[in-house]
Amino acid sequence: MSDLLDRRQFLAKSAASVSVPILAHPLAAAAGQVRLSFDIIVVDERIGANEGLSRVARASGAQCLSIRGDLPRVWFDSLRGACLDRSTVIAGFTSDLDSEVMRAFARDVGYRQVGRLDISIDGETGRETVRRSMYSSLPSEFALASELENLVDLYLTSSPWQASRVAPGPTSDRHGPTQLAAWVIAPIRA
Amino acid sequence: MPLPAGLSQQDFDGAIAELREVVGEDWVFTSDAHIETYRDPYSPLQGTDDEPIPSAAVAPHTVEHVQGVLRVANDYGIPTWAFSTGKNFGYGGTETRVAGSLIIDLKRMNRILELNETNATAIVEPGVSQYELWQEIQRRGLRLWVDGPSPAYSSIVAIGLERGVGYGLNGDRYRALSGLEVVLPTGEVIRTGMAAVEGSGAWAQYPYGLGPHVQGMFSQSNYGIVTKVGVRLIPHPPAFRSSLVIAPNNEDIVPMIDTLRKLRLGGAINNAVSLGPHVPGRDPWAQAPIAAPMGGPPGAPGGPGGPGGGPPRLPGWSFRLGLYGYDRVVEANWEEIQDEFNAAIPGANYETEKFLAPYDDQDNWESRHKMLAGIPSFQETPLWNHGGAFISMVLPFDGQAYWEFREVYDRVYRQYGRRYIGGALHNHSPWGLIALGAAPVVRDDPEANARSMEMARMLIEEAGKLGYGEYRAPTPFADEAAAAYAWNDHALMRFFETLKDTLDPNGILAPGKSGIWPSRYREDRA
Repeated sequence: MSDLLDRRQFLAKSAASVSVPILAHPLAAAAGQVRLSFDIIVVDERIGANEGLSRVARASGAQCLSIRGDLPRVWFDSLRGACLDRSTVIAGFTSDLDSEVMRAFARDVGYRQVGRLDISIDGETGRETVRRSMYSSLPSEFALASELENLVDLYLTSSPWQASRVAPGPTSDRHGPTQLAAWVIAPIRA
Repeated sequence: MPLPAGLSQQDFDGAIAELREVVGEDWVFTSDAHIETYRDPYSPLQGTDDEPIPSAAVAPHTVEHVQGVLRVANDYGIPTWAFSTGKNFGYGGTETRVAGSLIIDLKRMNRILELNETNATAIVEPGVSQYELWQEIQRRGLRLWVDGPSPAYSSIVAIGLERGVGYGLNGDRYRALSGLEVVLPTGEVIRTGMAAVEGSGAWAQYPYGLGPHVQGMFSQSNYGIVTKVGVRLIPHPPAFRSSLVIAPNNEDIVPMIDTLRKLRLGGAINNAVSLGPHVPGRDPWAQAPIAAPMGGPPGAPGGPGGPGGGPPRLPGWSFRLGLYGYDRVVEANWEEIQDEFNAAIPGANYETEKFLAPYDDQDNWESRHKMLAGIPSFQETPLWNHGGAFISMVLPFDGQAYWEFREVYDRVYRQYGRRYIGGALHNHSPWGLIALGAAPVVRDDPEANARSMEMARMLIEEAGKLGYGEYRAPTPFADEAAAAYAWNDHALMRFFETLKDTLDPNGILAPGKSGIWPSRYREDRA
């Protein structure tokens, strides 16, 4: 029933489709040459530094919001209001749980998560070990997910990982990898 | 999307058209994109053939809308599933029991109808979250606290009806409710307790009214949709002391519980207490692990043993303690409490801070203080790797009983490659304790989730052999949890079913909720 693609399907579609717009590479955005499609980029500093991302966000005209581990409060205090115009697009780099919380918040205002990447950061080496992706198959949403993919690449190369800052939760494995979720929410146009 | 069982596409389309007349075109959702948002990300059934995908969703704004939606559901025989905000992660979230259900999303019913500082009460609709009530209290400059779970995006109504927990003086969230307005499955609207008095002047102040106390019938049930509720709040006390009580060794949980019981029953401690493994520098509840994988470095909970060859070391324990009232009383109690724990637990230690009214700086307090005070907080939201489905067994408030039960949990966990470390809630009653476990749920891994479900079922079964049952259960485990309440050949469930069939003759409201199935489903399942 799902209209979401996994990474393999995404790459296949990306190569085959002529309708997908040329991706706005974040490095170009960092140089102020293009605008990203995200109006707001949410970052949780508990998981990774965001200097590079902030620079890209500023240069591309997006607002970069630090949530400091408190996504719900930022949602109620500012993000929810920003979504009322039904055009704001928000990307985020948060914990796995916060990405699901955001998915539920998005539903409340007629939005949905249209792209998502799950990245595991090894607790000892600080290296990215696994990446899984889900993208919308709808063309407009697919383009947003493409931009998210590029933004994640930039984020991972520009953010020094400090995995020791991340505390495991009640059901997590104490010595397991840290899960970073990158996501984008947009109004449902269906 | 799957259609409701037995309904043709034509009839379904007819029902959707009628629903659009009831709530408006914009508030009936049928597209894949919309329905996707109503799937529970922490369901162990996700991605399997058993995942109950809804057929459509509707968002009513008024009681009349709710009545209209139920009329359509009755006319067409469509199963429905109502929720307030749908963020009850770990206990089912938005998940239904029956594929093709019509979701009734009450998010638009989010009005705060009354807020009374003098009596410390409010009347709210189900879409009001703790945080939104708090925002309104702050906007009006009232000296009130709310209490409730963290994260505070949960609905005031739902956390009470589901008998969830808080951490301060109103930790038993159900007992903070007073007077309900309920739309019955047939569409009739009733009010309970003092709310049933015409022009009620004491709706939120006294829950019982006259005659049978039926408020509880609508808690964890599928007998009606609650559309308004009175709720008790907490007036600011003159003084508030927030403490962490720490026991250094794992075995200390036994005297810790027994001492806590003595102080709780004796009235020295009045807040809802959560006990968790103590990992220095981490919050005892939000960040300490309930379970650990087998393996890991020497000395770790699941590891091969400490450096000296001893058994793997399990952590000590801690709990948050709140004291409220007049300053001198608070301080006298605090002294007595420390004396009791020092006598019972060698090496017991404490972190503590006192606050005095007016609490003008409360918004800047650390999260742990806010939670105890009853200030809605989000920061307990842990950094979960994926999620879990909770298993919550009710035990007597007895240290030895908990210690022995913990061994049962650990034996089952070990069979599935994990160690059980522990965690317990003491929120509802000074006489009871909830032993908390969790079955891990991994996104996109149905095989791992199937094993988790198997583990959860075994935990429920093993607990049942000891005479214990769950106080609430994740939606997919509702039948197993209900089956433990088997005395006299499941007489209680037969009573629930009799009520269900009387109140909901077409069986359209939340079939299977808490293991209660209406007759037409019971026949199919037999």
